[in-house]
Amino acid sequence: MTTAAEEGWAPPRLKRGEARRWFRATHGFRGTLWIVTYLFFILAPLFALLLGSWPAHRGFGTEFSVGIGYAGLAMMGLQFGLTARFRHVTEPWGEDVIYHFHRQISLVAVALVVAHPIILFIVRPELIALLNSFTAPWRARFAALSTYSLIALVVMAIWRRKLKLSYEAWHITHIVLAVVAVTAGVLHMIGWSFYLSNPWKRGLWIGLTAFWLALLVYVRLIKPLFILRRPYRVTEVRPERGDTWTLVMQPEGHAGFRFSPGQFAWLTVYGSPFKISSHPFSFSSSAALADGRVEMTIRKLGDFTREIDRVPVGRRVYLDGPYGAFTTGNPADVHVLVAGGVGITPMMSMLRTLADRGDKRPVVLLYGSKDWDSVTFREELESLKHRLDLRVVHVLARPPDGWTGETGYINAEIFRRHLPAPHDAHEYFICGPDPMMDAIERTLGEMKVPIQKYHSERYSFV
Amino acid sequence: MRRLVAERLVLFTAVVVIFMAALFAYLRVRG
Repeated sequence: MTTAAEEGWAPPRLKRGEARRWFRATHGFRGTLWIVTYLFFILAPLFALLLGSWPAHRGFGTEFSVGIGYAGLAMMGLQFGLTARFRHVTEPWGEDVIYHFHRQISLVAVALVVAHPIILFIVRPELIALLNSFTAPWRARFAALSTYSLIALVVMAIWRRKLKLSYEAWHITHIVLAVVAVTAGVLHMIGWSFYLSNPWKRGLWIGLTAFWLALLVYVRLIKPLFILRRPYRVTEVRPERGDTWTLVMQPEGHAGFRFSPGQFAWLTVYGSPFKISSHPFSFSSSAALADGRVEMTIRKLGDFTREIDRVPVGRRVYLDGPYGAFTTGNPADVHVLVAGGVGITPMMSMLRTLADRGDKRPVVLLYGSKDWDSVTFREELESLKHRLDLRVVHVLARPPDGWTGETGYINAEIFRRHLPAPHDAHEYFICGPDPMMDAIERTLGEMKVPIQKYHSERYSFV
Repeated sequence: MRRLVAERLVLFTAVVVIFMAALFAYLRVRG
């Protein structure tokens, strides 16, 4: 992975309140609906336990611990839904935010599940004996199995690289542990038979668990079946500047799919869609191509991309997509595209699409690169100027001798020099390394550009 | 900032869930 310093970006400084303003401005209704629905799926099954008759209470501490135990398990179950790649689930926030939420909320869920027995042991010390799995009843053994699985799952997710686990091995273990944790958790609840002695309440929680596991079956078995029937063939592996290659892929036996410029798909090059080996890449081709052909431009940054130049022409590959909310289409007088390094990929898709559609709205591309030789798509950007009202501003971290253009970092001064006023009227699209994107968002904030006017999506989320 | 947004969402969810679990316990105890 290239570093922010290599790409030429200043480190970010985030202000408190920026996230809140961004949420209000861009995600008011749909974002609120999303979080209300999410909370409903956690809390409705809990409060359903209060319907009808129930046994005598066992004190506030015990009932509170039971409440967080049920809620924690529901949160774990919903994790299957967050990663099931449903477009409407991820759209209000973007795939990267949902994946980060998935990771962080798992820590909360595990904390709740672990707090459940700890609170119980405090208010009812006699229950500590249940920790001995040799003598404990099955309902307590299932609780222990669920908790230990969750802890192992989180430890392996946080320290995957330190544990030297391959992505594929980790992913399979992750799924197995999640299934064991959720199933054992529900068996513990049924075994304890306090709230779930009522048949319809028991049915509700068993049904919920079946629903969560069905989401896993959908994403790992049913969806790959559909993808398997819609393969693509690599027709060209084209070298680009900057240790970067473009894979040209043609649909085989089907018409392909329509995507919006700026979106991405999960690419499986080696193995079938059932294998856990797909990686997300932006489309770099025009969305206006009629033959279903798609292109992805991939830089050698390590792991899977290290061997991208060795992908043989003629290889059958699979695409799961399109995904992502980072797309043009909003009416704007000026589109400002800010790209860092291989972040140019979705921008090229936008530019090529605008050119193919004959869109003559002004576009300014601010493009940060290490040096002049590694500027991916340098020549094509020059030729696109003839088809678009396009202005390209290269910003080089290591400029060659005699360079008269911009150098160093993209900052507020560069924005002011190259963008027509008023700056808050333009539509901004940002893609690049995480520190760069933080820095640019910060700069736009300093320039009083409303948060709903800029769009970014991060692809370093897996 | 997008990560910060996700983290704020997580914090909000955690607070609501813990509060609702306490409400659940309160309603149970109160009958």
